Amino acid sequence: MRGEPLLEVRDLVVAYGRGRALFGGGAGIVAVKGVSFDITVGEGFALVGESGSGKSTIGRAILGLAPVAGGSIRFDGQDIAAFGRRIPLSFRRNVQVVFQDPRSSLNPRRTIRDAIGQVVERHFATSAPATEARVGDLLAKVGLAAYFMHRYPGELSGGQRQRVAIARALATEPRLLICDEPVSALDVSTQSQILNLLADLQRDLGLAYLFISHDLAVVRQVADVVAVMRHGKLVEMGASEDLYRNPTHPYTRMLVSSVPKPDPRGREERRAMRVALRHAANASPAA
Amino acid sequence: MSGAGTAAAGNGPAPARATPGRQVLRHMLAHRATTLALAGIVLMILVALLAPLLAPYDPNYANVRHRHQGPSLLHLLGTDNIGRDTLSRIIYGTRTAVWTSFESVALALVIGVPVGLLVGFRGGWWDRLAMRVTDIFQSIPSLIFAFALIAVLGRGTNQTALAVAIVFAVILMRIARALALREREFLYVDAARVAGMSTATILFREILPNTVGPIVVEAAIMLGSAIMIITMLSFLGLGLDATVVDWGSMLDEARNYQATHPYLALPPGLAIIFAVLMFNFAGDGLRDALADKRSTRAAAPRRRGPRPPAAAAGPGDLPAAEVIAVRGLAVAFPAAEPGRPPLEILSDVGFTLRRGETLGLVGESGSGKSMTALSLLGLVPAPGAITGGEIRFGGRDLVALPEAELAAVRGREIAMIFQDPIAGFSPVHTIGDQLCEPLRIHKGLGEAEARARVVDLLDLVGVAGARERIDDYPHQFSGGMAQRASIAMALSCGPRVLLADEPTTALDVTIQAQVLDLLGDLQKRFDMSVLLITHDLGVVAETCDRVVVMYAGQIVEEGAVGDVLARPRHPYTHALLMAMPRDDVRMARLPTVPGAVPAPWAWPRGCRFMPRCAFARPECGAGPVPFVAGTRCLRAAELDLAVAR
Amino acid sequence: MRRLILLRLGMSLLSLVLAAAFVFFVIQLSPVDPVVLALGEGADPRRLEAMRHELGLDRPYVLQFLSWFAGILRGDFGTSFFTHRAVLAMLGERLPVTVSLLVGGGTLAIAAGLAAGFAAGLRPGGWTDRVVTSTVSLALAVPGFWFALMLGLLFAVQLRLLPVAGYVALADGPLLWLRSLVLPSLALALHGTAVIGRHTRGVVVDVLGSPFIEAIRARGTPPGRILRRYVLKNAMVPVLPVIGVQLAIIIATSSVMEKVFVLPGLGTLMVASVISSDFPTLQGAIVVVAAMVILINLAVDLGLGLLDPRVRPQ
Ligand SMILES: Nc1ncnc2c1ncn2[C@@H]1O[C@H](COP(=O)(O)OP(=O)(O)OP(=O)(O)O)[C@@H](O)[C@H]1O
Ligand code: SF4
Ligand SMILES: [Mg+2]
Repeated sequence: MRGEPLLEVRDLVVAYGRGRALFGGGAGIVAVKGVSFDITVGEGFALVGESGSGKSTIGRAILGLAPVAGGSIRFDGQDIAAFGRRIPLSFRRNVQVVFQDPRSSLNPRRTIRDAIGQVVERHFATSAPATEARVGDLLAKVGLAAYFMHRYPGELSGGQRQRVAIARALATEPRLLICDEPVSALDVSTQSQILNLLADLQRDLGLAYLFISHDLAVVRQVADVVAVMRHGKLVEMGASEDLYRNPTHPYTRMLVSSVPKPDPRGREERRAMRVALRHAANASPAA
Repeated sequence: MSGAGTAAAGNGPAPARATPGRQVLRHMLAHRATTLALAGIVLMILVALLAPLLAPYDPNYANVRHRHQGPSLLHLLGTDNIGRDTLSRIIYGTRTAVWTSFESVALALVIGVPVGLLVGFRGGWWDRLAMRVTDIFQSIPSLIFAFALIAVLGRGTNQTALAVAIVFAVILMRIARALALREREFLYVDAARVAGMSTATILFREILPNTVGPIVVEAAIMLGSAIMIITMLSFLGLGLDATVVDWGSMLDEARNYQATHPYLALPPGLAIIFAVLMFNFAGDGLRDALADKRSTRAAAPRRRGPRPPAAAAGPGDLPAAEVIAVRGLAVAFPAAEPGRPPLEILSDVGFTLRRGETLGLVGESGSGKSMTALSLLGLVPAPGAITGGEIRFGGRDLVALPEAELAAVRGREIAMIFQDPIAGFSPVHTIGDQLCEPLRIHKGLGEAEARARVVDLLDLVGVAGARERIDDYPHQFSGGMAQRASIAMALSCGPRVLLADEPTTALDVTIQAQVLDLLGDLQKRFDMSVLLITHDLGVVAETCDRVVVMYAGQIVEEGAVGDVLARPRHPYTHALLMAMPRDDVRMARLPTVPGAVPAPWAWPRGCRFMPRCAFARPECGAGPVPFVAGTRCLRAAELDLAVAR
Repeated sequence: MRRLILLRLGMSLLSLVLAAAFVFFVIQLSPVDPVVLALGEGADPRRLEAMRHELGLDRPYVLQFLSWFAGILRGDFGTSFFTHRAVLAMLGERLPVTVSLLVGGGTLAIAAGLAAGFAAGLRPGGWTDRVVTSTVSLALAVPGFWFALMLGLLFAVQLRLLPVAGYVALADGPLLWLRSLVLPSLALALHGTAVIGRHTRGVVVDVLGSPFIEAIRARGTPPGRILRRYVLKNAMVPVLPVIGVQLAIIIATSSVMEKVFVLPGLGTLMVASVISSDFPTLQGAIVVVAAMVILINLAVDLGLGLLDPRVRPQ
């Protein structure tokens, strides 16, 4: 049905905060409770869900930033969980990330050239002039003039910083880009610029996306497949067309019906539907 | 604040700036106290280096015949009990003080900082061990610990410096660890890991530069403390070699002649004060230079600014259908640098809030929505102030109302809820206590009555188990529940107007829908007028009767929701609508608005939307555009901006 | 709250054990051999050996520590190398002076520090603030013992209002006791006042700028009530730990005041035992000081538990 899987996640379990010995223990919490999905080459795959549902944790586990307690994550057939702490550069090169908060994801004390250049040097061992040229190319790719090379993050606007973060991720020529709420910190007018940029890159570079977001309208613009998470589990997954048109799980229906539409016509009907769904949910708390 | 920090729209160049390091130095030198402190430190170092040249006498040369002399031309600062020249001893004492303090602090830095950074960054077992060690130092004061070390190391100049260094190293380790822990949380560290950087690279190239500032501040202040502790130790007789001249032992000797020759204690004491003062000022200056601008803002005087002149038209009642009418409202902050004109962040804001309606106030970050709402309550944060306009509420002008009368309006006639519901409650008081307060202040209810009423209200807004939860603290509430509780509080005195500043922005979309639906119900039930602030046109469409659109401190459009969203008349409203992603279609490309919202100091003189407007003409930049017939666009009449659906 | 008390009590005991162990092992690093100290250089090696065995000094350090610490728990702090008296008795004579100084200096520092900090923080940038801020900067640079000398000079030597030196026990007359403590307490409180004042000022400014104060103002709560009910309690949460640290520092620096005003407290005892390598006395005194500091920290933790629900274990 879909293409060759690039990333296969099977029964993934992630637990935080265990094993604190020497005074001060505290039970761990299980943030992801057995989640499975595939992402194929060049595909836009979205994880949606409310805050705390575990969607970011899945992204962090794939990046080796969160401890995998069970299950497997295979990229190109290789199990990442088996790497432990030492994740090989080849994997780092293939899977990159863009985070939500462009303020915190760039080091305030390093110029844009340093931030991107260090990644280029690490992965391609380029000479200084070649690095500089490559940074210029990457900036051009995300629509920033070479002028920004010698700026500090504090001198950039939120949208510009997010462009820099994307350029840094592209520096390794990845095949999978994990985008963790990449536009939630941005104004609407800037948000659409970044969404268009991500779409262009997908088309031009054949990138696959794992797109993590709580905003269904944003997800709609980038995702081919959508998976809905709640309390650490997937409740529904499907092609985005189907899922938005005919959500089957009650939680997904609630989610879809809760998104505000910029059109006051029909708002009374939408509201009546939400009320009915809430009644149904209260009546059968199984969901 | 605004995510769009720079004036530069799109890819246009922004004005060049100095690197952060140079900026910090410039910042420091801009303050006279800091400059003097740096000069003072340089002076001390010079005196220390050139002591043999500067001192008129050998500091240990005793001339018993000249003992206990007051200041004279021969001995500028007099002599001590065995006739040694005080000035020479102060000069050589400077040498000792500078040397021992720099030695101990340098040693402490070399030991403490790398260890602290490493354990903080790595975490785990090593970190816990290190923390246990520093815990021990929480129960043994530094000076006492220094006693124990001197007992072991023996007395002497180097031993004392070493003991002080060990004490300081532990303190620095704790500071460096905390800094590393803090930095570790920033996403740039994760990004570096994902990029495949090694631990050493991350530690020394990413984290260290961000921790240097606070550590240098600490080190500067430690230099002063080192002088203090070492003189204290040598005053106690535990300190330095007998042959070394130092301020502490000078004071010890002076103590013996306190009754007869009180003057002896002055020079060494003043020398210590000078030295410590210089190091402290340098440290403070550096800290201020590193801190962001907000701290200087907080230090500004707190008072309400001068009142604007009363509006020309005398007070008059509003038409019955209008609850609040704002006209020509302007709010300004004094410029960050003296000598610049004040920053006007609201200009000519005007709109009406009608009886029983929900009015949306929509705009992007930094457009002035919150400031507008705060102005209505007279709560513009100092040093900002309302500089013009009027706010009619019933028969009153809220701008001219004295503070005491305003306080009676707040919470009783006009209530407000905020974006972050949990941060809006005092964390150390129960929800119940806080919810009772408006009832007790404005309605004069007793404790039991107020509590009963609060339970009813919580029930009404859908907080389950209200009777038990009333004694919970804010941190025990989820965001959605806390927002319900703050709605209950806002409703408690039956206000005519509710100001809701992004009440659902911090909530999940399903909770947002619940809270908005609840607000709609309550608005009808209590016959309130609601001013709903949001950045989301979808929220406006779902909940509001009319809408006001703000851009860059101005109202750019006002109208009925159906009209504005179907046929916007201002290009900004149109662009905002078009740029919104929709969940019913996937679009090949979203229409975009070029550039970003400009900061207040970069607002254009003419139409403020001009740099980003697709319909701009040269005449749009000529001068301020007036608000005419519900919009602020020169071309409103000729443009057709209908939105197809 | 009960869980918090039990938890903190347990941690306090643990801290005491750790502090005692730390002091013990650090002092074992000393090159000074107590047996040589007792019998003199060049004593007969066999006699040295015998005495070492008799005192248990040939056992492993861990065992030595355990028996020393067990002794402390029984009230046996060992015998001074120098005076050959029971260490416990020596500590007992000196403790009242140190405690008196802590109470005097601590009360002054807390009261004056909080008052100055609130006065300054409520109107940042105002003239009170400027006076307080500059006084604090100056006070932090003045060595406490020099300030003590100057106070003595002014009040005792020049004005003859107060005694120059010496300590009068409480039992010998409360008024005399108080008079003997005035100058040392003032000198001792100097830095504590400055640090508490400076910190309180900053905290008050922060609390006043926090979103919940804005929300409370928007409810129409009168300013006086905001201050008494909300600012005070919220500000005390971060100030309390600073007070704890300052009290510990007051205990430590009282050693210097004891020297200036010739007061027989623990501080001068410690200094003397450092000079004479009287390790049992030094160790015992440090353990007593550590116990006092741990008690203060315990009080601070419990106070925080009362003030702030977020630190109470769930
Ligand atoms: N204390 C202050 N001192 C100086 N300028 C301020 C202060 N508070 C806000 N501003 C400025 O006033 C302008 C309006 O801010 P306001 O908070 O009203 O915007 P907003 O529309 O509510 O934005 P958001 O959507 O981010 O809440 C902004 O440019 C902001 O930078
Ligand atoms: S006045 Fe001109 S620049 Fe401004 S919105 Fe209208 S058309 Fe655009
Ligand atoms: Mg706002």
